[in-house]
Amino acid sequence: MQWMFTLQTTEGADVLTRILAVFRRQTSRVHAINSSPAAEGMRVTVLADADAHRVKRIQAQLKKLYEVDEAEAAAFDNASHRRMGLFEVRCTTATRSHLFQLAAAFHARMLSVSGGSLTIEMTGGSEEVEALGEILQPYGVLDASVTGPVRVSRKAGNATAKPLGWETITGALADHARAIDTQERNGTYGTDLL
Amino acid sequence: MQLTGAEIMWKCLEREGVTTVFGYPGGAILPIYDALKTSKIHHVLVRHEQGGTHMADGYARASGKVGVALATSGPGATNMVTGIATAMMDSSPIVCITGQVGSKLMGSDAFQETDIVGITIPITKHNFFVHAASQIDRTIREAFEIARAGRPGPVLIDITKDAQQGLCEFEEDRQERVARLKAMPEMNRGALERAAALIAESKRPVILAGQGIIFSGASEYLRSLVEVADIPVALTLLGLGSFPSGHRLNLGMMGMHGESWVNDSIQSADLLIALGMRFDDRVTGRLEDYAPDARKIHVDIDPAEINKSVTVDAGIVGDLREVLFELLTLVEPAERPEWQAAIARMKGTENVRDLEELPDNGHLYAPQVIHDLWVETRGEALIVTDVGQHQMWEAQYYRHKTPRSLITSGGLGTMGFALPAAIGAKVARPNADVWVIAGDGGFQMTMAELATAVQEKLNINIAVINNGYLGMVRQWQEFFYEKNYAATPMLSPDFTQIARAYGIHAEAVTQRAEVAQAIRRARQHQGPSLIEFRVEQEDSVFPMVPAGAALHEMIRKPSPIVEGKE
Repeated sequence: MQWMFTLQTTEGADVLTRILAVFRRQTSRVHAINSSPAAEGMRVTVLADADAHRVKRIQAQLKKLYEVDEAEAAAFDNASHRRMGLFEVRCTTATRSHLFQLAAAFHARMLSVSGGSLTIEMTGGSEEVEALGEILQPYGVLDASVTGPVRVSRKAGNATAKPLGWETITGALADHARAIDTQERNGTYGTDLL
Repeated sequence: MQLTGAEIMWKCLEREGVTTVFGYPGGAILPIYDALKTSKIHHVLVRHEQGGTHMADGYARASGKVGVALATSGPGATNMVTGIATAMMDSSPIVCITGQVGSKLMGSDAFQETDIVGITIPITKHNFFVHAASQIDRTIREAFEIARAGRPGPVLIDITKDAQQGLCEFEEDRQERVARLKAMPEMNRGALERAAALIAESKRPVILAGQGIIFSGASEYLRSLVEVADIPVALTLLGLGSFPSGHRLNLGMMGMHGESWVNDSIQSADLLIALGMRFDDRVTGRLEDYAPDARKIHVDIDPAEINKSVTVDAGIVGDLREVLFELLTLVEPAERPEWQAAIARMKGTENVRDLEELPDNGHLYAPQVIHDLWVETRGEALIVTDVGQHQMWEAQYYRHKTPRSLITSGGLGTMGFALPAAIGAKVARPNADVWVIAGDGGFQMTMAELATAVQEKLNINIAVINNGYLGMVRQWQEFFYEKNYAATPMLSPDFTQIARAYGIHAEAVTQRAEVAQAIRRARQHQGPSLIEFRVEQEDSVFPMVPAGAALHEMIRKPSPIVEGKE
């Protein structure tokens, strides 16, 4: 069974290694791990296989880590998370409009269009992202990459926590995100590709 | 004041109250050794870094203070691994400091470079990588706080050579705490009241006392609880000494080699009160059949231990001293004569120590040696045991009266632990009558540390229990592998000759009648001494709960235990 662990940690060079080591010792297989700056410290989400009787133990051992402040565990379901998928699909003049319609139906975006292929970006629950991948298969998926699931803590205290703005995220990711944000506000996102 | 990182390190250790460190120099830690001259700290030169970590561990367990071990990068650091894992399993507070190659060289497979931080992540409470002199002050304070806090444990600090050499401003009198320690959850009042109610309802309670009693200094409170509520106490291996062995309510050690009435009491109890112990598989046997009729109360300082292996009815996270204090205000005085009588019936004649009383039949048995050592030292020695049969016989036949009178590797079961740990213990408590008890196998793993004991002029006594086998493994082969003694017969050197080569007083004993005299001579001798007890070769530890069996499914002592006894 898959479980999703949501951790609140402080910054630290080896945090992710330490977290993964806990799963290793509990013979749990990690499918995806994601870390990002959070309102305070870092938010780490881990999707892992674990026997039910080990989940509490994993959670308890995660909480023992020096850098980990909070560790929640929840059965993995489609409603409680988001992930992003990128699909590079073979594309001909005959199939291009089909693919655009499919993307629209899934609320996905066209990232790039080239002579023989196009790249579709989709954000959603695991099931939706997976469904898009399956539906694209007949067209010829040349490459695909899906991120691990991310979520924020379920703790009620978050409502009063300082809202997370782009300014807390630094580097290229922030620039990219800001650009998309602006384009979306202007209604120009993706138009350069069409 | 501008100091080098190395000088700062020594100043920080002094500030933490360190007076002795156990170490071995090498290239990547040379700046630290060069700066040793600026410090009052005494450095004990070990013969192998594993020995150094065991010494720090023994020092910590004997004193309750943090033990410190030093090693260079690469092989120096990796040699520490067994010692660190030993300290981790038994919750011993040590700080290990390793030199690391210069930060510019890191990642280039430089000479003696190894990722010791990565290697020790699973076996330390926490570890640090330090690559600038300015980080040393804070990191050392943090490391000591972490090692001591809550459930103690080992912390490793890896310091690059350039960090040791770099200059940095140092404020000597900074005292503020820096570690981000998690606050102990507030004592669960509800669980405490539930525990008191369970104790009041119980007809057949047993207390399971572990090392937490010793770490917390809660022996007196334990005794109050035991006497007020009239509850018998079973001890884990590491809990021995937390409750006086002569007390009428002390049952003895539980578990795989616990006495039969101890395990039988646990199996027929209606309430287990687990205090500072962690339901190790060696004490529970098969979990599904463990104390099936018992409700369980579990007090531990580590929240991760509650409900880890055994599901409990009342789990209380906290320091045992505080928890027992609170519990004592809620527990009503009680008397349980029926339960005590039932235990007495379980005991029956099982506790007749036939080996002790055995007339001299020309053979020497290890339990006799332990018994005589107990008599000769009046039960007041600080015993450090290795791992194997002798360790279990010691636990059965040496009756410990006080906390920190037994040091042994429990969780990891590290052969080779005893001699170096005893050296550390003797450094911590120079006035203690320190005895190493080791088998011929384990002793040979770390006997190079004899030189350390001699160089440090440490007056420790060593009893090598030589049965010519890796005895505990041989016993398993006898019971479970059709006596296929694969790789367990062991050829050993003449240990007395080895000892004499180091300038250590030594003698060999083969007869029961010689045991007490030899022990007396060793104790009177100024300086280290070694006695090699050449004992019965194919003797086994009874009772024994086979691995995976239920706690009451014991292999009992044969009766009579020794062939030819009337």
